[in-house]
Amino acid sequence: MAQRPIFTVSVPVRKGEAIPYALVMSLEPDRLVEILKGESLPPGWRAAVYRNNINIARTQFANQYLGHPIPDDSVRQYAGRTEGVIETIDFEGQRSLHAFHWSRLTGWHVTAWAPFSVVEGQLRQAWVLFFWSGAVLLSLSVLLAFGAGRLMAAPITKLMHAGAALGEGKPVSPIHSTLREADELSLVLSNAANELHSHMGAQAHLAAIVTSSPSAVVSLSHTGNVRAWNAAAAGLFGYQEAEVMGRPMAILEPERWCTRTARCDTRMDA
Amino acid sequence: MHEDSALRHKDGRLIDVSISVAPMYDEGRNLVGISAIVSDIGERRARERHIEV
Repeated sequence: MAQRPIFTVSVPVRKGEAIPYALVMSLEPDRLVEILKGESLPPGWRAAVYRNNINIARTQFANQYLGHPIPDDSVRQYAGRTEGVIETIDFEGQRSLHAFHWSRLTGWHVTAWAPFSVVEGQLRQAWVLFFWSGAVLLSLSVLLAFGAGRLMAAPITKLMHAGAALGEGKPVSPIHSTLREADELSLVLSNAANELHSHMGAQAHLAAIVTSSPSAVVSLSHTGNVRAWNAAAAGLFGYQEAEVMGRPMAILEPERWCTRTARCDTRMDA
Repeated sequence: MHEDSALRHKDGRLIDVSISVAPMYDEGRNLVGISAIVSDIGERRARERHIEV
């Protein structure tokens, strides 16, 4: 197994009051990083997501710090609080101001922070900082939840449609969504559907050739029972398909191969 | 395999036919059945007999 962090997102699916099942999807952190980066943070600001004090997404130095535990000092300051502002040393060793929010729903900490050098230049008053970073955090966590939900919901809906089409033997186009995993799955579904569709098309074509053939086309099982009987066969022998299906072909040929000796002709002439 | 034969119609009369028989195999080369294409050659036969006479 690749030694890389993976996290899972569970979304309960409601049917009225009941929750019959939950969608569970594993994501690589870089998907979450993409969502974080989609938030327009002011210059110099960074954002990150922690779970159990492990860094699962961040806007900068993601490759370097993903999967790392956050510094002990931060853990101590986060403990027991759902939101707030702390002053600590970040991964890059800079003294910085962190505004955080803990989501009860996901168990994640979402944090936005900036080194003091940036903050002091921009904002001198604590209440402004608090208000402002609080707003950033709120929008971050809302957008994060919304983004993750939408990220998952849209491709999954498409996958469901693809699955339904596959069941009906219709062709399926591969989807292009924000979830690479869903895209890959849809490609598999699409290939399977196209294979099935062309196969079914070929089968139907062959069946049409037999059905509409002016010659009687009959097939027998290896035990000699009728398994196929087209319209021309019904016309030629007077038996409808239902009358002969599964019955031995011998009913048609009491004088089988008798032409070899021309006895049949003789008898018929007689 | 191709041959002319006579098969019996439901009403009892014999029909002159030309039969092409081919074995059908599955992917594992096992015999699963026989296909037969049957053509009515009654008219041809009648002409042939007429010429012979």
